[in-house]
Amino acid sequence: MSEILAVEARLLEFLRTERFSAGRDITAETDLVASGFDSLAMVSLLMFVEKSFGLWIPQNELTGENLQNPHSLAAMVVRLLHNQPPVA
Amino acid sequence: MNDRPAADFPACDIAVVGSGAAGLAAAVSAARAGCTTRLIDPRAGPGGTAGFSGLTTLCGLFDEAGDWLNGGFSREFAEALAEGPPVRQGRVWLLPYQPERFRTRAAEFLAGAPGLTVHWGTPLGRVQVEDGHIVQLNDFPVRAVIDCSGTAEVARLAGIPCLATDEITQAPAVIFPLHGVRHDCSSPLANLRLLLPLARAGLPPLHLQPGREPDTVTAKFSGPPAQVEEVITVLRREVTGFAHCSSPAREFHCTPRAGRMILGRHLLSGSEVLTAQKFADGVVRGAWPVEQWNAAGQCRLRYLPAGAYYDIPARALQAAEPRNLFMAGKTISADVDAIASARVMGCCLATGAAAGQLAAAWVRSGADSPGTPIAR
Repeated sequence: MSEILAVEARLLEFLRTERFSAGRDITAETDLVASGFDSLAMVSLLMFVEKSFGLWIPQNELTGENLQNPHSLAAMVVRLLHNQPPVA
Repeated sequence: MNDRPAADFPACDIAVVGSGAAGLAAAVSAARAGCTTRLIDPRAGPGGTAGFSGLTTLCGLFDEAGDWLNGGFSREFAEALAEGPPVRQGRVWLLPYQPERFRTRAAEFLAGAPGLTVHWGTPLGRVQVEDGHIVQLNDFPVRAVIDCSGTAEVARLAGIPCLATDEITQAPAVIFPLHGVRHDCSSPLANLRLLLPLARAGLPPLHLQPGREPDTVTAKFSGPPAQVEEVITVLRREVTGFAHCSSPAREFHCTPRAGRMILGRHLLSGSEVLTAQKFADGVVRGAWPVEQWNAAGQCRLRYLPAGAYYDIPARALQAAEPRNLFMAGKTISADVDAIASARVMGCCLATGAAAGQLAAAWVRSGADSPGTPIAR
């Protein structure tokens, strides 16, 4: 769980500096699509994830559940770091 | 319709420059209103962007509920062009069409218009202005001109002030068909699965719209034409549903999204579009979102309020100076935000038809002095 929190913190730092205007609240539970994340914004976030954590995200991980918010994304990252299959 | 060289012709009432969606509608409408009309275009036949760019979806015909925004020629032509119902994509409606069919139908409508002469393979070479009026175009005298060139060629040659879009908000795109594709264009996740491999390869993004067959899509690519082959290679290798994709296009080239707008008696603004402004002299309805594309291929859409439409006033289709110059399509008097909505083909058809009627009313009224009121 602490791994997920660490990844979350890194994602939130990126989102706060790169994607969200200053002063706007973003938490681990912020729904990304509902906050205006379009496909291209999502691509830049996923590229950041791949570069920062040395990952390659397979197509079958690009699901609404995984990409819903920073928390779900962090959980996916940790799972991929441990090479675990997607949760059924 | 006669098809003869432009030289040695008697005066015409109205000259239309450009035969894309706007020019087609303008020429047919002016001729139907009883004016002797000439249509000139540097290409070998009608179609313009609608017929030659590779686009296969007609935007801007319908409001959010899917009802026609404009009647008249724009609806008449769209119904003649359509081979099926419009398709909903998010908050907007698209009409899929075949570019060849657009060109054929356009030629048929032009052939059926009374008193209309077309001049293919005829670039605009000369515009003569006297006493604040355009009096001659190429070799023939004119009473009114409708600039449907998309790039304001009449205004450019006559030295008339124009506004220009830039590549920051209206980046050009390479448009091409892709066949052998399984892809749901309306699914954000499907689009993400396509965009991520391109980003990994350092390639600009691709925007897909449904094609006219289930296994075809029309791609709009924001990078240079030379990168298209590389894009197709990445898609085949890495994206589910694209393993066997290919493009029948023999060459790839850039299509400008917008061009130059002529300053008219009213300059339609982006805020008037976004607040669904109505005008006493409104002649066309638009509802397409303000659609801006940057060079990185990012699309920014700003929508009107739900279900709303804006008016394009007659004054935005008539130049501030000279008054016998009218505009339709991408050259109407609009700022860069407003044209990012009004440049779509459905709107070009409607402004073309309206400009044809306005120019005809101008000629019929015998108006030859600035400030003469024109009929709606």
